[in-house]
Amino acid sequence: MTENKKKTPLYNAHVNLGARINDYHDFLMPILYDSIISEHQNTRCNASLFDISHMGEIVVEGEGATELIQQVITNDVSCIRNYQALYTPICNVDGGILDDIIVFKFLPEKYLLVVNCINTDRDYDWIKKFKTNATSICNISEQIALLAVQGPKSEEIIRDVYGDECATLPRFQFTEITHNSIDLTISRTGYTGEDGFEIFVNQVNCEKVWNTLLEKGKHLGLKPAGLGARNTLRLEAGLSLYGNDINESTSPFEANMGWAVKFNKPDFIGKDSLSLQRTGGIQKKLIAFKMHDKGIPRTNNEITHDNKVIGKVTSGTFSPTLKIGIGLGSVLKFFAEPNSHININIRGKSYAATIVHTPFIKKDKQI
Amino acid sequence: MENPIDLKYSKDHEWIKIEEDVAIVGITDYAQDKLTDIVFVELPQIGKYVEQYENLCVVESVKSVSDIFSPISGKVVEVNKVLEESPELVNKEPFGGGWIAKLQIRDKADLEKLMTSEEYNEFITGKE
Repeated sequence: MTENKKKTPLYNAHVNLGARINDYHDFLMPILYDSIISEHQNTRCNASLFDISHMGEIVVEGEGATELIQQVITNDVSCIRNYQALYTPICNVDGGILDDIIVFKFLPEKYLLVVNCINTDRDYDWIKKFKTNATSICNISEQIALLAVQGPKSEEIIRDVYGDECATLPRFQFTEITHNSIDLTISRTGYTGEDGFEIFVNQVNCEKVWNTLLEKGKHLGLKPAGLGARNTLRLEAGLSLYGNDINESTSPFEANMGWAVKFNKPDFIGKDSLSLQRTGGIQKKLIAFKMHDKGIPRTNNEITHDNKVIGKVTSGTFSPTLKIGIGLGSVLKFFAEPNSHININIRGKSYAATIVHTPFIKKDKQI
Repeated sequence: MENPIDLKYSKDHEWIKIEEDVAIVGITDYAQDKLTDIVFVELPQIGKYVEQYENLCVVESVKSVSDIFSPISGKVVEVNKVLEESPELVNKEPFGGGWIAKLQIRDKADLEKLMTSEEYNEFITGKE
C-alpha cells in the first residue's frame, strides 16, 4: 500500500514518536502524535513543531526572474524588498485560482516559491510555459525539507537555538544562516494564526534540525504536532486551504483575496478577467461561520437560508478553542453578509449558524 | 485498557452489557483510541428501533464522522445525556461513563453472534 507513496525525511522519526500516519495527497504524513486537541492547544499556549516537507518548493532564477514572477502572480513583488516574502494567488486566464503560494524574494534575480503539495507539478509546468531563456526554473521539492515552529513561545525557542538575528525577524521576512555547519533559511511565516517561523533545510540535514529544536525547545513546551492540528489551527485563523476552500473555479475576489490582486503593475495572467470581476461583481463568496449549538459542519454540507440552498461548506471542524463547530463555505454573494443567520444541513438535520468575520480567534501577535 | 469479561463485543467495536431485558451499548477502548478526541455524540432517539448491526447513532472526532452500529436488535429506551456536554467521556471511560444507549433486547439469540472478551482480544490483536 505504501510503495508509491512519498515520505518526508522525517517519516521514521514520526513513526518512532508514535504518530498516526495518513496519506495526504500521496504523502505519508503524521496526522497526530497524541491528540489533535492537545496538539492544537499546545500550539496556542506554547509552541509546536510541524513537519511540512510535503509543501513544494520551486526556484526561479535569472535576469528574467522578476518579470516571470510578475507575469504569473496577481500580487506585486516590486512592493517587497530582498529577503521579504509575499502571499499571492496564481491565476489562470479566466481568473481562477491555480494555487495560492508564498513568494520569497532573495534578489530580483532569485525567488523561491512555496506551493501547495497538490499543485507542485502543475505549478512548475504552468510557470515553465511562460519562461524565456533569461530565466531558469527548478523544482527542488525533493531536496528541501520544511519545518514550522508555531506558537507564542516560538520566538524564544528560535532565539535560544539560532540567536537574535532570526528571533527578531519581522513578519514575512527571512534570513539565511549557517548553524552547526547546516545551511538554513528561516522566515517568520506560518499557517496557524500564531506567531511563528518556518525553516528550510536540505533533506539530508533535516532530522538533525528537527531533533535540535525538539531538544532545545522542550523546556518551553515545544512538542511535535501533526497535520490534524495544523488544519484546526488554520481554520480558527480563517485561512483557506487549496483544494478545499479555493480551487480553479474560485477567483481571488470570491475568496476575499482581492487585496492580493494588483492592477497597477505590468500585465499578468488573468488580469482581464479579474478586471471585469472587479467592476462587474461576483456571484459567490467565501464566508466563515460559527455554529450556535452542537453539530460539526463538514465539507460539502449544504448551507441554507430560509430553507433555500445558498451554498456549501468547503471546510469544517470542531474548534478546540471555541469548543463549537466552525467552518468556511462558499455561498451566493447576496447572502454573504457578516452576522447573517444561516443553516447548515448535517445528516438531514438543519443546524443554526452565523456568518462571522475571520479570524475566529484573535491573538495579540498574529501571522 | 482491558476489555471487561462481562461484556460481549461486535466486529464493529461496540460492546454490550446485559442487565435483564436491557442491554447497555458503548464503543470499545480500541475504537475510542482509533477515533481519537470525540467531540460530539449524536445520540439516538428514544423509542427508535434498530436491527442488529444497523446504524444506531453517530460519533464525531475532530477529524471524522463515524457510525456506531447496534450490536443487537432492539428499541432505544435510554440515552446517556451526559455525553451531550461531555462527549470526551467516550474516550476516558469507554466501558463506564462513556456508555451511549440502553436498548430493550428483542431476541437474546442475537447475543450468540457476538464475541466474548477473549475472542475480541484476539480479533483486535489480528488487526494491529
